[in-house]
Amino acid sequence: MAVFILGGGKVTLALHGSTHQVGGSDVLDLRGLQGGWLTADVIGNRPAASKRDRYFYATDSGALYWDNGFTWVMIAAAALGDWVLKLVDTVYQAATDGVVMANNNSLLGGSLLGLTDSSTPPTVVRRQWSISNAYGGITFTVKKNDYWKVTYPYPMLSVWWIPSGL
Amino acid sequence: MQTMTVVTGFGYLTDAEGHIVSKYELPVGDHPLSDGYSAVEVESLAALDLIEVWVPPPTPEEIKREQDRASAIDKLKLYLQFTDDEVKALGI
Repeated sequence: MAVFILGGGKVTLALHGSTHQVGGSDVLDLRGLQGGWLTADVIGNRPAASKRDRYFYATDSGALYWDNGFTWVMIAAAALGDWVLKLVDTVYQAATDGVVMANNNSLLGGSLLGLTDSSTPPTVVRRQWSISNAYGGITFTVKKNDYWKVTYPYPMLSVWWIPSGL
Repeated sequence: MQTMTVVTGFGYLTDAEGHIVSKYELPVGDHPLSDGYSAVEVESLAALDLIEVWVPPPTPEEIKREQDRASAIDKLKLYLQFTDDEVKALGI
């Protein structure tokens, strides 16, 4: 008797000879086959969600997804991506969840603001620090697809974005 | 909520008074634009570098805080003989 675990999450018992008997079926390896319960490929080759309880591992981002029958749901976040240097007073859209860090590189004063929400320009201040004659910075998280920016009265500022995954 | 259509990927945003409040680098396509703002596209990142974002004047609270800070530093120097480097080390 062989046990198949298919994309639909069903367990199908098919009558075969025991693998331990003469004429018995071979063990079937479904890994990597479309329709198998787990496939791995780059995210661009992920099939459309349609079969509940399939899983997809994105080899380019390291994220693991679950097919709920209608859409793919990320169930395990990928490792952090690479640091990317960004500009002050500039709006960006987050392609993934991520974290923004901004540090002033001078002793000039002023308010350092981190803003993010679902429209552009973002107007909701999530993090603020008023600086006087000191080095320092702010850190705030950004949701996937939301917009974000860092404002500061002077250009002497480093703004870093680190994405989750891609 | 308005919608802005991004074609080049680069541009800037102005508020209701015409001040350039922010630049943007966004994916091509439609994006929600907050009420009271307008979007202006530029050709390239190089063109965007030439744009200067408006810096609002300090608020009365910020002016007062800076005056108090300067006054405190003056007193440290005058009465306690702090040097500029020593004041800087205080981080005030």
